[in-house]
Amino acid sequence: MRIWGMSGWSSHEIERELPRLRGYARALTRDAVAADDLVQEALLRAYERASTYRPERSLRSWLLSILHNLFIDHKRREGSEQRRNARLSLLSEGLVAHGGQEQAVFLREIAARFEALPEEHRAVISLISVQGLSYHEAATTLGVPVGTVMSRLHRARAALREPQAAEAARLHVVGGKDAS
Amino acid sequence: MHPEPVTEAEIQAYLDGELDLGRRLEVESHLAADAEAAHIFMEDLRLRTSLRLLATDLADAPPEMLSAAARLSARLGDGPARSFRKLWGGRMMQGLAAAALLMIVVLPGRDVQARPPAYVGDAVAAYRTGLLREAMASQIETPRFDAGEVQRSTRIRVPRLPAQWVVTDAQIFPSKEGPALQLMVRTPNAKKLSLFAVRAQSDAPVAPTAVRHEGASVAYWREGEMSYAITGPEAPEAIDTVAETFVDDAV
Repeated sequence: MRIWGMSGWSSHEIERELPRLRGYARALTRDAVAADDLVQEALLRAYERASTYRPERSLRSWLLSILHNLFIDHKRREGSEQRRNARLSLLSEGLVAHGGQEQAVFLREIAARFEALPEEHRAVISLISVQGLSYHEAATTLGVPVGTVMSRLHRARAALREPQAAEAARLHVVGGKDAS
Repeated sequence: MHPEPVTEAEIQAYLDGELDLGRRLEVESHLAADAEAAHIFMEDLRLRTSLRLLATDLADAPPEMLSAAARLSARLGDGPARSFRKLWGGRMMQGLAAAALLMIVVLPGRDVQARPPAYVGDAVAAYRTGLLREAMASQIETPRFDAGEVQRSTRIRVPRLPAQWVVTDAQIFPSKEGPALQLMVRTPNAKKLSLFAVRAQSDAPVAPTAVRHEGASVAYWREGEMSYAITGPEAPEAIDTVAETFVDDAV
């Protein structure tokens, strides 16, 4: 078992978080260029707010939540979400070189389903399934209770499943109310 | 005694590495007995792998991002938080407490984004070569392996292998860090694994971390001046579990 943060602090720590920040930014923005801009801005914002960072807090959650809040601010200001919706699926271009043709088709399908999810569902799936955060860390990052994270996650997964599997799961689900 | 029934939410928590061992077992028993639930679980697993695969094509971080990251590190590393290292320890303790509270078991295999140290590439290459040697009639394996002799001549410390493991081949490989030892082993359930050891102070973590690398899973960790990797065909989680036994053993 490994507990986050055991590897200790070093100046590489933030550099090591970059792939996670960039991956999360891309899940939110669905645009590689916009994602890197967002990460850059988040790093600058974190620099300005360094004095508010409390070492007992996870560095990872702190950085991710700065990035998340910036994204929300931007969305409010610019309505960029609508513009991006028109450009769906650009993201999945060029990354289907893994595996064979069938796999490529499947991956493209999953990418399209993911990009069609509402932003808060993309956020939990990216943080937990892809970036490997715990429920607790994801809740801290998003500033919502763990229960909300879980119900969003369940809904997001249900939407990502194959239509038949989703139907079968629907019959299995116990509870699953979104607390937010 | 009747165990708590397993819910869909719990199966997902299992997938996300949030359950303690006791509940993991309950979920596994449930999945083993319920084909439909197992099917959905596999589907979710497939989704997760797909999303991770889709997320792997990040280009290198642009230089301005790296310098912004370095500036932030420097800022966080001094100033009011001068005793940062000490505070980090406090944070770790807090993390431990939180983990106990929530029964969080983080699967290290999920830490897929961290860039593995360079020797991990060598470890995978050695593993492939080992499989190749085994398949070739003209390449004779060297199953006789003397840990003492290896340590004397290369200063590579070899961890104690589990008793049931059989060494099928032992080779010294050249690597950037100097000579590296590679052992091909067969485990009791006929799995072929490769153990790679090199005397190098890499930036591998002390606790094993597993990644998927070029079609094989590698768990890597460091112990003082030695860096280790275990490579095999299974899922990263499985390889990581194997690696944990070494680390636990060493303590």
